[in-house]
Amino acid sequence: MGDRIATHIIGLDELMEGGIPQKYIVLLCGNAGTMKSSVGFNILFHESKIGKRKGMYLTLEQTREPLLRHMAKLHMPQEEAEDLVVIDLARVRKDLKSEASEEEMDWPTAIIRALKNYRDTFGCELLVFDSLAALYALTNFKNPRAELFHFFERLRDLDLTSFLISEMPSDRHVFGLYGVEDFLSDGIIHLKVDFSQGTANLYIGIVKMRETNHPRQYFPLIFEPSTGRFEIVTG
Amino acid sequence: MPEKKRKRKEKVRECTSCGAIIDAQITVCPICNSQIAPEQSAPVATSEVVTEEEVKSIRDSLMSKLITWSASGYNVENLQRLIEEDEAKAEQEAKLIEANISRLDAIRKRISEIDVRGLEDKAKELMEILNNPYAVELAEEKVAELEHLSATQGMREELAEIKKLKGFEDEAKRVEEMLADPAKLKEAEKEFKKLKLKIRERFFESEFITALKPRGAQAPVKINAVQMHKEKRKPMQIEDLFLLYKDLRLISHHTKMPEDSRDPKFKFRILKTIRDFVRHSGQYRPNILGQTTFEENRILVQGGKEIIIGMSVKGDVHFLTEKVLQRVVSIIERKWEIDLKRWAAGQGELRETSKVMNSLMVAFAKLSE
Repeated sequence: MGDRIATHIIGLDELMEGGIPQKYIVLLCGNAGTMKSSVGFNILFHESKIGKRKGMYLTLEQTREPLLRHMAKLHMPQEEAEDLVVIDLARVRKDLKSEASEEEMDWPTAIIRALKNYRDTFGCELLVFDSLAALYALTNFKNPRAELFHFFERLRDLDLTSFLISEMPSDRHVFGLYGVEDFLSDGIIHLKVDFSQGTANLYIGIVKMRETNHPRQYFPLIFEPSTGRFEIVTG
Repeated sequence: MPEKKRKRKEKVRECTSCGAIIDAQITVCPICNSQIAPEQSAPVATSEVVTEEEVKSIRDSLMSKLITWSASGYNVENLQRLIEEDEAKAEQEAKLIEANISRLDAIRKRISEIDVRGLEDKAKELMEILNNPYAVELAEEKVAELEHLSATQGMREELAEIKKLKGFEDEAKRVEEMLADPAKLKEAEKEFKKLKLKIRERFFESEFITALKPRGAQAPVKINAVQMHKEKRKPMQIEDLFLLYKDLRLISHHTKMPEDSRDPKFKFRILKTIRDFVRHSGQYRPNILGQTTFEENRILVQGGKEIIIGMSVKGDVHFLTEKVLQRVVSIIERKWEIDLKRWAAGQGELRETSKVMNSLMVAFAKLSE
């Protein structure tokens, strides 16, 4: 569908009117080890390769090389994408030498400004931001609800379709640390692991997607090595 | 009617019984009636005999081809000589030329599909070879080279720019070297793509670092990271605009420069530069933006069938300049088509063109913003 961004997870897009409406901010959330980064990269990779959309993977946590090695193992080598940049702010963090501590720096503003300048210069339609938790670790929010609201609004003004990777707190059933991310986002894709049958089975569910008819149940998510694609198991 | 002397292409052999020379196809000798098995009698000779009429017909046909090819500009002197000396060799030669001309036609088609902007000299050199049907191998080599250069032209131009970026000089040079080798084109394209991605990633980092500052602070914190060198482009400012007739007579001059701000002869020296560029530089091509310099100014020249526009500008040439000038030339040539065809240097007929030229000044002023 022209006006939606496909997740490129086989079986899932058909269940949500072809994908995610453009320019949405979507939380990709789950606990550690639920393949949030891989699912996010999967969207960028295939949208770049098939849809010829310009994408950016912005990482604050994992550095570039291990990330790209991992994605190459999942049949997503960066060089096969048409236009996909990987911004390694994790490395920049290490390179920074400043008298001010990380918490005192205005990371959200710098990221938004750089994104805007980048988009104006080279063009960019899709963003995966990895991760909100890392941004929170770098930012000493005085008023998290208000500041996050501004961050989301400034991000929305960039007209990108954004996927924000959010590691869920294990003690509460909220999709972001401050509990406001759910309301600020236009969509929530939730990844979870079920250990009930003695194995760690991965599930995916669309918890929220504005202006979209979508099922409420969770589907087993598998990565099929022969096709190099994610797919859900339905029926 | 006396029978004309025979001249047939025939294979002959010797009868094994009586020794008569007979047609190679015959199995019973017409002299001694002996049976001649094909295996017993291998051809002893091949003779080519052609009647005078046939010779004439062949010559006429060859002459006709010769005339057609000569009229098409092909160099076929060798064939002409052979027609007079040896029609059999001439026939062979004509076949070769015919085949080569067909290959040259294929080369012409390939050239028509190549974007030769910036490669005009190479294309011209190649077109000159195309008149020579004996140089078809060389032409094929050259067209392949031209195709390669055209395909890589954009990349080479971008690499020239990339080489100006601090920290990317060596990588750009390496890709440039790969590009020079047609066998490494695929590899070069891959490396070029990687390099461009890397530049964009570095651009983001640089923008991010510049924007990163303590909360509430005004000035950016000094950081120790790779800074991408970005040369700021200077906007293009038009100083003088000349509308010239195709024979370089001046139709009108437009400027926003105050008369007392410079030497009154300055504009005439620019006009002379434009005229010299068109007449003597060898670089002027209709419908293509030509460039030269005069002191600190860039002189831009672009013309059509009837008129030429010359501009003196400062700063970097805006990328839309050629397109805009092309449009203006085309508008003037269409609107004043009749006046331009019979123009006798009178001011009246083309006075209205000044409106278009003034609009052009305004358009470029806006572009420079």
